[in-house]
Amino acid sequence: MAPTASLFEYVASKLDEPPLTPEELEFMAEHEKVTIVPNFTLNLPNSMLTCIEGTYGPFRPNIPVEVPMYLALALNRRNKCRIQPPAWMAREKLKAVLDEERTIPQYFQPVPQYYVETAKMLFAEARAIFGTNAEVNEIMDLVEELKKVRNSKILDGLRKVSGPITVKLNNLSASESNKIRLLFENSLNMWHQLAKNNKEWQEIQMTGTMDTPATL
Amino acid sequence: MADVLGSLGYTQDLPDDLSELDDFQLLSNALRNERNTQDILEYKHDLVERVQRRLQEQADRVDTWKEAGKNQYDEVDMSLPILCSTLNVNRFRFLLKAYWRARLQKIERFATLILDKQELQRNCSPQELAHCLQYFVAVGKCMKEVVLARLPEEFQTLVQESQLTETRDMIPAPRLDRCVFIKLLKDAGHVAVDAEGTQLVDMKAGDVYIIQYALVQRLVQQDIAVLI
Repeated sequence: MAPTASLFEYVASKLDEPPLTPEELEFMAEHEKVTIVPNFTLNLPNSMLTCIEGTYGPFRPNIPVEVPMYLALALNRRNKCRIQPPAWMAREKLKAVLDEERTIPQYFQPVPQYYVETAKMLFAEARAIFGTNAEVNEIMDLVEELKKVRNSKILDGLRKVSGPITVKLNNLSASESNKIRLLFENSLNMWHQLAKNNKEWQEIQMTGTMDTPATL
Repeated sequence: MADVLGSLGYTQDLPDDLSELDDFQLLSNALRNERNTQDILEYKHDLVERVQRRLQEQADRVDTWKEAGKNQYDEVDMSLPILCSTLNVNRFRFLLKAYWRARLQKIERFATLILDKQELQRNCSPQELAHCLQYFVAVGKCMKEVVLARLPEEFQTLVQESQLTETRDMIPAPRLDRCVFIKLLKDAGHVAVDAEGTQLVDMKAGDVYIIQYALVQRLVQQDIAVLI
């Protein structure tokens, strides 16, 4: 039996909202590494940049270097570097993943954990890195298609869920899991609660004593 | 077990490096863990101290560069290092504050329970415990003056429904049976996926499950898995 709600609960509990907002997901996505080609030399010993989590570099003209996305975008805004498109965003690779996604309905294809956020950031700030306008549009369409196909797969799977089960969802990206989080988790919670109530009811039936409804 | 959405043994082509996590990833994992469950998790003393120390070093470095820029007459352009380091520092400050804020919210919500149980107190840092005590005293006093003093004698306790019940049953406890998304960082062997412990699932690194938190609480506490 759940404890009676205390006054502290009323004061301190929050409404149901997703634990991680989409903005925070984008913040985490900015830590993903991309390769850039700088056009400057960094004014530090060995041209290495020391950050709290490690060092990046060396930053020398025309030598590719791996940096986190936020750094790459900041440098790109000041025209200090050229961002190279990530390997998974090549047109052929995207087409292959899309085909696999369509042909195999039970599994999800491996995608980068933050592919939605990464794609959005790159298209917003660094469209030119993909080539001409036509090529950029093509890649944007491919990513949209991928999102749609995965989305419909998720919804199909959700429709099949009918009880308090554990589900294995490999290769689900962060934003997709955030989208279905509230619905999925709360439905499962409700199912678990109903199953528990069912069990208690059955146990009481078997022992033969019927407690008054007020204590159930 | 219903394999509705899932795959079995499908290896990832694009692995996020699951073994070597840098401080940013460790801290963001800690933040996600705190946000996704009501359980009071262990405070990451080492990680937070290390990040705070390096934050201070980085901030000092930026200050020395700024001073050097103002004093010297020759053009040593430090704007880029200053920019990059400031971005980096701001990101870590945000992460640290979000981590502390998430923990404090939970501690305030379950203040009565923490002050009752030793093992939960071990999971909090000394500052958090001090805050918890002060919060409890302040809010308790407010409740007493505003509401409880005007109720009949038997109902004037904060932690019991009335003087007539023997146990303190008005203490909110974290709901550990709510479902969470969990991602495995290392192989976890066989784990029971239902309450009776009858069905076992072999959990491998990189798997994502949605499962009741109580069943995987041990994995999260030992950093074998992270709640996403």
